[in-house]
Amino acid sequence: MDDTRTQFGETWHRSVRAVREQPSIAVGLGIVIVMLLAGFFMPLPFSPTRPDPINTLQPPSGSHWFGTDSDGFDVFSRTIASAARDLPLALLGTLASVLIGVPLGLLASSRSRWSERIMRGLDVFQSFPLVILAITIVTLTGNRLENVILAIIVINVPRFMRLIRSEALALRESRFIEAARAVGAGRIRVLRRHMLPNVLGVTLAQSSLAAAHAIVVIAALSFVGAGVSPPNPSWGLMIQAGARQMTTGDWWVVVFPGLAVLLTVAALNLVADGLQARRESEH
Amino acid sequence: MSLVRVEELTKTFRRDGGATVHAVNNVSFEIARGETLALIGESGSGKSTIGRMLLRLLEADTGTIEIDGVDIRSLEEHDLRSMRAKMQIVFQEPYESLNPKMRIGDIVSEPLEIHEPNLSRSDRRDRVEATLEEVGLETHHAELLPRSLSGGQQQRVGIARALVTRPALVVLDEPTSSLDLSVQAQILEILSDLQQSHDLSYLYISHDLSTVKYIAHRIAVLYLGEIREQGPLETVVEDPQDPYTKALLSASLDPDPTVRPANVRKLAGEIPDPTNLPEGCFLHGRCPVRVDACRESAMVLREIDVGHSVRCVRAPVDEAEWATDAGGGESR
Amino acid sequence: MAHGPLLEVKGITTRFDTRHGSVKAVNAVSFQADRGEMVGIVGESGCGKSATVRSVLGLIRKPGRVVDGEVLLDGRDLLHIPKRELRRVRGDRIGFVAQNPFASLNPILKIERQFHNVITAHRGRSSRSSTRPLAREMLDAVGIPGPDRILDGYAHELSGGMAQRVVIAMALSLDPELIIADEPTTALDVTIQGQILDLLKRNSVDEGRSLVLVTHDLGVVAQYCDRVVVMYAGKVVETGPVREVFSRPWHPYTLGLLQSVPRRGAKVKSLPGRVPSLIDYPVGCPFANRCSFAFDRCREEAPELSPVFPDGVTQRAVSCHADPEEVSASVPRAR
Repeated sequence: MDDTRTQFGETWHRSVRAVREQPSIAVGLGIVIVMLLAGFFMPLPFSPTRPDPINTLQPPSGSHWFGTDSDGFDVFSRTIASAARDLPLALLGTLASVLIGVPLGLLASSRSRWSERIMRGLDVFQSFPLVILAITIVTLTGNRLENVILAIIVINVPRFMRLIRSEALALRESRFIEAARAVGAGRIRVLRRHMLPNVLGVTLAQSSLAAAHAIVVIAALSFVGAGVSPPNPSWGLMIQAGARQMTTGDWWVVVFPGLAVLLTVAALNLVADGLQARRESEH
Repeated sequence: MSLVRVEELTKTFRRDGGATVHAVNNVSFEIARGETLALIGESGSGKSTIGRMLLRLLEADTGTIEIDGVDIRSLEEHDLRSMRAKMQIVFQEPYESLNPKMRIGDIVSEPLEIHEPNLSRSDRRDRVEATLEEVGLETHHAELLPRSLSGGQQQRVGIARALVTRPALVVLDEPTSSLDLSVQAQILEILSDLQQSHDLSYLYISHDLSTVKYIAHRIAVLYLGEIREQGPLETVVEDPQDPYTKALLSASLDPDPTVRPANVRKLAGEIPDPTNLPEGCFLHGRCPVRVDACRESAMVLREIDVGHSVRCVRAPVDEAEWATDAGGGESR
Repeated sequence: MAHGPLLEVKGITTRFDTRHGSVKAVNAVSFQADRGEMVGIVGESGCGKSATVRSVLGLIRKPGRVVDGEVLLDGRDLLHIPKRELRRVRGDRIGFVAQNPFASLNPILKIERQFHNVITAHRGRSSRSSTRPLAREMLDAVGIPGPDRILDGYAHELSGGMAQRVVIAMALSLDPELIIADEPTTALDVTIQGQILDLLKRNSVDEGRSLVLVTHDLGVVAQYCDRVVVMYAGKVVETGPVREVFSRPWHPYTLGLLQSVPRRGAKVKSLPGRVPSLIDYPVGCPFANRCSFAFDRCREEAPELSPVFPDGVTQRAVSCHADPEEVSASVPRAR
């Protein structure tokens, strides 16, 4: 009757219902899922990693739907293939940030001097421009995928901590939290059974936004050459390569990966909007 | 021996800006087993604060609190937590006091998980179902979330949660103030029946005299953190001796239009700010029967009859002396 | 002065369109208020009493709309006049006092300024020096000592009781013929409540104005009002002189309410069941599912408020199929 397990099952059912009732969640999620599936399973007309040096800088045509770039890569294939790299990176990074940031945020909501100091430290930390920070981290630790995720975590954990902490601080004043204490619940039980379920909603909405931001961070990283290295496909890399072609009028090299980033970010924002609208309508 | 014995309880708060609020000033009272003591007062009286200090949801500054012979204030965290099985509270706002994400069954079962962890799952479920029935809810309600219930039903859940560990003392903090009149009656009925069947002691906190009259055995009238008068319900209500008690009682409007109090005893002005307590007797600025002595020294509760104590130094006051026009009073 | 009641509310019906359906908040509500009369509209939460007075004042906004009915102030319909005229009437001829005085007072303007704004909005331009004496006079009338200090101060410096007095003073400053007060003392302490109700009565009905008081408190109605309008599920179920209705109620709901009042020594009698949904409004009488006097006709046919005399004057009326004598015989007599 009372497991944390059942609580997550509960959340699942409510999520399914949320998706059905709020079209923006369905549309946004749908786009993301389609892109993921396409990235992993769609048979590509051309190899995303083997260039065709003869057919460079071809405009979009019947055979090359999105055209080719200066190395002869098929832009369409690379755009789709990037989805299998950039999206999972963003989602994984966000998930890791949630798993670390939410518990820390809950713990930080206790009224101790330790928590105040941590928060002030975070303030200083977050005053750095985040993308620069990400670039610095990856450059310092090495150009590997794991470090891209590390960068995303470093950027997002403070955000989640701050958000969850402020939600938890507000929750602490609730009558039902006082009731839980009156009934004899200890600190851990209060956090686990009373605080956590009531911050999940805001966590979910924020996660979607964080994932959207992570896509941009990953693109920015590969744009400056940190993170994903050529010839692996990544939207950021493609945009960087294509940026040079803008002056010569070969627009397709940069526009299609750019649109892909835009679409993903928009889809994730749609999900976040839908979740937020649902939370507002419930209150 | 009384179930509850409270002596010289005080509490001050610091407001933003530095002002000190003297919320509770040397309050003492006792509650016997199976008895209801009502704390009645207006805003600033400290009644809610006292209720919370009794259960140590708020820490008192000074004073003794003994429940079932145990000195509550000296208990360590762990022992205090086990003590909570014996002393519970029902809050004023039914919906706010329930975790909106938790099912009713889980809400009522949580105290058992904490205090009787050795109960088997099915035994626990049986206890929860039995308690839900006692408060007039049905087993299927256990599956619902709080928002699916009406205000009256939500309050029943609050009562069930308080009773499931079979406490000896329940603090009732304005349990019917947020409810409609017809629902209020249902809740009062449940509380009254449960007191009989479980020999419960209630600390009933309210500003509403009619519910107090229905459920209380003894009554303590509070003003600015002090008890002005304390005694058996009938005595205090039929023959109040303190000017504040008189004013409070006569201010309550009887739903029977044929009952018109001959004189409405009024106090002048407003309730003073608890950061700026008056000198001497707290009531003297508003009191129609004050004398010079009232301004000089603080008044002490003194017993004028068995179990009946009053703070006003002039008690008993002759009715004729209670001017109907002084202090802004008027007859209706 | 014209004959007949000052305020006549006839058949007001108000709906709120929500995504769950149409909420039938007010259903063919009729009542009246004579000059010098205090009318109490009483009912529990959701009965439509607040929605009714807001409909009367023309304060209903989307998603709500008044779909039917007339509000006659001195014979003139207020519902079907242009907004600008309504705004003039409201304030000038009708004063309004809401539950939360701090919601009615502007937190950033001095009290004097607010008086000034209210007066000039309805009486035309005048200087502060001429509105101040009037403001002072009004604060005096509501029993505020040291009005100058209040006038030069702000709303947040006042206690709840003081703030409500200021709101009442402002409403009175335009010399309205009718005052509508929506739960004016619910948020105030018990001892202050009496003061406020006394001053409301003194400054309104005692001076020939009409006062419509919305409340959930039977005691307030019993001790102050001349006439009572009992509402349930958006309908008027009973109306009449307070003494008569309270001693011999004709409607089972009124009876139920009176029986719910806790009395020492007697077991309190509670009303079983719940209020029906205002969206899935039941066919027949909305009280039928909780009524111990209900019979088949009650569930099929909604009762109408009667008797209503041909000229519209209603002294005492009830909306029920049962025999009023039977209902009033069940009143608790024990004290």
